[in-house]
Amino acid sequence: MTHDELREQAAAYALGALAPWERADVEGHVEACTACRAELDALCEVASLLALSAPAVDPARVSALRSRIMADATGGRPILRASAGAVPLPPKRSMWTEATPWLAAASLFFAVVAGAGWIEARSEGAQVALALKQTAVTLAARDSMLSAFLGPMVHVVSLSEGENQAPRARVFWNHTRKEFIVTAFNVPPAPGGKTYQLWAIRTGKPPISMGTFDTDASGRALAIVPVGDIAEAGFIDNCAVTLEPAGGSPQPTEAPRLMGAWRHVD
Amino acid sequence: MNLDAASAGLEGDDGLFARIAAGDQRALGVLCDRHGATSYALACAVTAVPSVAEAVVADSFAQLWREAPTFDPKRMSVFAWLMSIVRTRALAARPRDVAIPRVLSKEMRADGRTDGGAVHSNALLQAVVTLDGPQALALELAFFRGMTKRQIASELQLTESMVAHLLRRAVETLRASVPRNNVRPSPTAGAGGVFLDSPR
Repeated sequence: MTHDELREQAAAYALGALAPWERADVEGHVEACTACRAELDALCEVASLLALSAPAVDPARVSALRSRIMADATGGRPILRASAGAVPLPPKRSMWTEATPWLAAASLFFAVVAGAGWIEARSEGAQVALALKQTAVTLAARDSMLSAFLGPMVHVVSLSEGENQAPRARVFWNHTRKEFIVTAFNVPPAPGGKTYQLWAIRTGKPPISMGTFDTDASGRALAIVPVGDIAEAGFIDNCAVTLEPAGGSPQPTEAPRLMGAWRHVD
Repeated sequence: MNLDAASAGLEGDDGLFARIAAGDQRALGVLCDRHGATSYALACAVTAVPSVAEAVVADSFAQLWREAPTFDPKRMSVFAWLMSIVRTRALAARPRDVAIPRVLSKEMRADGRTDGGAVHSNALLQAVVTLDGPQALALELAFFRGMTKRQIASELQLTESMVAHLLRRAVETLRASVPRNNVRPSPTAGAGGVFLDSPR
């Protein structure tokens, strides 16, 4: 694609009016052309302003929508803030009392059944279409998580307050996907200004932070996080959880509240 | 309005977004105050069903909140990113067999908005009314109806290159209507649109 050809297509690109292959042509060009990249970015900004031309809406509905936005948005935040690449998850459900693979499979099954039943009960039209899309997204996320649990190379650590105590958190490590799946249950929310921090424990070496997390009011948390730099740490014996200042600490500042040893899942 | 709210109102989107990426829920609230009404208006214009539009906007802000840590504000403004999310989701959620009213027309008037987008909105509306019929229609079909250049060409009985030309002319007209090198809606102290004006 030449500069002139790009210039002719740039507005259509900015407005989302190009076919996929045409978009690919444009993006291929601007990959190596700074001037055209800047021009395209500017047109995209202009195109976004078209939203301002939409007719004004009822302020009362907008005001009511704010509460929903805040609840929906912040309710789905990944729990491990320390890991920038954390994968966003759908809202948690109450059936996640313990995040074992069996219950994950059951969760998926019930989600399908409940989703189908709910959809049947609704009238046809827009709401059904939207519900289907939302269900598909939810199931795709669940499916992704389930496959992380069920991979051939998965280790798990159950974290408890001491030997013979019931586990209160589990961390699954999928070697193939290079991901940690972190679950917590019956862990009270951290007090203000504090956060829970997960540590990889190696014999004779300092602990390595695996990230921080917070639990919800019911004491639960669930997230997938990339293994990241910790993959270079070598053999990890145990895993521990401490309560640290918000944002996490370079090294633990207290004795572990929860601890457990890694084992392989067959 | 307290001092925090006042300073938040003055803070630009980029600064606000850095705080959102760090997990500051109050910053998300300010962004919501600033662009929530525009997001909802866009979603309503695309879907024509308020309940669907509300779900779209809520989901869009949730996506923004989730993906904030990985978003690069150097590539595009927060406003453009948010509108892109809302538009994409609205087009996907748009019900079939629902009549979608025209948005861009000669009858458009400034809607009296007072939020951060007010200046741009009024300038934009003035520019839109100067577009000729085919330009405005092509713009509308692309942006609000999600039609491709080929679909628009078929709809208007034109060639694709003619549609590309119409869209280019239209966007250049709009571009000329907003301050050069500053196409991003700026924050307005104490305004932030409908939300900050509402008691909470």
